[in-house]
Amino acid sequence: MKSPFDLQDALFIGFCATLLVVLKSMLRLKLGLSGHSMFLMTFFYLICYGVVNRVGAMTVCGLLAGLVAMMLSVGKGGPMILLKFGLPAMAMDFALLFMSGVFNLRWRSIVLALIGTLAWAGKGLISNLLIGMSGQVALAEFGLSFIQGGMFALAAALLIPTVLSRLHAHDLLPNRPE
Amino acid sequence: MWAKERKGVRQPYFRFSASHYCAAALLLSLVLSSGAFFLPNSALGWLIVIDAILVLHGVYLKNKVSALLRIGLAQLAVTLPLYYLIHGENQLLEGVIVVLRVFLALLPGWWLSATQKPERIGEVLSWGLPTKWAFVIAASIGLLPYMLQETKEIYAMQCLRGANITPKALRNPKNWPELIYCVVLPVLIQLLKLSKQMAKAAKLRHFGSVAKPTHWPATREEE
Repeated sequence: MKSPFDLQDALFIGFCATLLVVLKSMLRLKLGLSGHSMFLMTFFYLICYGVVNRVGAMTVCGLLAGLVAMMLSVGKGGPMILLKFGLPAMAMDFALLFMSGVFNLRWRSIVLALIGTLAWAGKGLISNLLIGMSGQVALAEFGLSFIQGGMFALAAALLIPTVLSRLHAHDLLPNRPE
Repeated sequence: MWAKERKGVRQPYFRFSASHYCAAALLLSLVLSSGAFFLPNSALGWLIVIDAILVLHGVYLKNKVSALLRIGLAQLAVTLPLYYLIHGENQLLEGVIVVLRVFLALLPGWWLSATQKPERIGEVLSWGLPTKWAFVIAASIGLLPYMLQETKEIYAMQCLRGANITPKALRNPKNWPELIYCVVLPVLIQLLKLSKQMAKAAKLRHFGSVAKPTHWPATREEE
């Protein structure tokens, strides 16, 4: 991995990833609802993208979060968690390649959030099918988790433009979020 | 003299160190987890036996299984009604097997995190990681207590100021945006400042300008 990020951006992404993992582990005690992890994931990935303003930031954040979660053994632990954090981030970054500069920030974050949720629920669908679950049941679970996760992800995406413009108001971002 | 002798005794043979053991455990849990996905039903019994041994090992080291069991039960509660609704009664057994496989895929991860120290897992992971990202991970885990402290202080201060973010007020989803603006936003500002300071401090110590970086000795406690 040849990194184009300078150290400051890399550190910020690392802090965001760690905070994401820790907050997620604290929240899962309180809420039994599946899908609330999408809120935190979308929020921190989009913040990373907005602050660093570069394709690849979200993937790095996702992979770092996976590694940190593996080390702190948060959640179910084990190597699978790398995919759980990494896959939505990769999908969001991949989608970003095709749509940079197409929408304004608000719509871009909404579309990215939905794509991330799709990847997240799709990962569940594929693993359920691999495990031998019948297609209809797997699809039903996919739909259920997509709706739940999508709601949380949308809520996070709607917060992003305000948070970014406030960060810009504190003169902490190098360039203005459009 | 003493030191020399001890060194002489230790040098000749290769020791199977804790990090090698951890790498083996990581591989084992990876293999067992994927086994839960790909093994045919007939071989599932053996997998259960191996996983049961792992669970015994974890429980022997005084770890709790209750959280894991709760996840398994939740999965069962979601999947079985769906199976019942779509396929009827006679395929319920299939649903149970599916849930069992999901559970078996989770077990090795639980065992790994229950028996291995985080710093050993980190050491194994850093074998394949570029120095910069290893530094980033180490820094963020090292600064975690500071970040949590900062977050707690900001939360306490905002509560004193009268923001609607006490646990009781947070039961109402209407107050959730306030939590973001009152707590998460200041935390993000702190993180941005912190990353700027850390990057400057590391650069002043010539971070990244040496081809072969030095490390803090990691295996002290095993010596």
